[in-house]
Amino acid sequence: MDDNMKQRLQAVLASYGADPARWPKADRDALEHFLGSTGDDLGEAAAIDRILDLASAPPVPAGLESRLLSRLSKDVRSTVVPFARPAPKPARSWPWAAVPLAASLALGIYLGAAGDLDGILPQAVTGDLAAGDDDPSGVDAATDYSGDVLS
Amino acid sequence: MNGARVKAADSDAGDGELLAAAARGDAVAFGQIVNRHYLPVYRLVWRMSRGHADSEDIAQDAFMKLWQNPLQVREAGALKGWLMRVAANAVIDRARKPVIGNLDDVPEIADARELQDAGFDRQQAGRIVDRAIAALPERQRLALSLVYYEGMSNIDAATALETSVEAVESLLARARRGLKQSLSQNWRELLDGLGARPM
Repeated sequence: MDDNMKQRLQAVLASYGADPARWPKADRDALEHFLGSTGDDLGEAAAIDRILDLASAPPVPAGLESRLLSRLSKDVRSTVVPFARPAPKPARSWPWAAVPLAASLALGIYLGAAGDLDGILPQAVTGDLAAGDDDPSGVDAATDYSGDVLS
Repeated sequence: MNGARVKAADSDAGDGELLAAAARGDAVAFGQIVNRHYLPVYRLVWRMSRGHADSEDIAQDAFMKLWQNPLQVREAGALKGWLMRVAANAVIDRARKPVIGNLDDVPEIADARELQDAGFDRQQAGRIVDRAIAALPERQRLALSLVYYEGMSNIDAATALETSVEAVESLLARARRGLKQSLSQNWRELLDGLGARPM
């Protein structure tokens, strides 16, 4: 028995006692044959086992299980009742209609802030205003055409 | 039990099958879990609580908790360890609460001085050992109860204690050493007494 096995045997005796039936199976297979060579460790483990075996056995009252089953039978299990899932709502189309409106609004704000409408809108709409004409009513321009003869 | 009247569970069913059936409200399946694990849990509680009068209630509470939601046990193979842990924690919690009760609740545990009387019997010796075990730290007492008295494997005990196998072995070794130390004055008398009175 090498030192490692000797140490393990001492540890097993100290933890599980002298009875190999109480040992972990792997230790039992590997160490049981060496029990005779442990000397004092085995004797001490056996003595502690004998003392432990003196402990009182828990008294088992009559009807122990039936009282538990009776208590369980009276218990209404507090099952978790999930909230009813709301019925699916009919699809609505108005949010989609709002998208182009919002896009238009955003574009208008952008262009307005940039002050660069001339390049986009027709001159007839913006010409005089953009040129800083003093007559925003356009009456003078109408006068200029008054002499035209329609043919 | 929730009014369930369902098929009887197979008596050879594993804990996993019984838990699954119990989760569906199968009272018979849960009854088999009780039949399989209740006594070890009760004995553990009795040892941990030093034979307190509430031992049965505490053991019952562990099963009530399981009944409320059987699927909270993640690994069916660890069911016994789970029950043991819940019950042991309940004992520890209760022991830490301020004592409200009367002296009748305190178990009768013999004093080591009893041994000075040469005529002690096995019952007295048992109460002295009970007292020494009861004086061990909680986790040492729990490890000793699980492995030595209930015969759980070191792996199952480690699961129940939520620790490693090495830690369980350490707890066991310290418990045994501590027991020997606390009983050192009467060690020889206890052993000799046993020799003089074969069981």
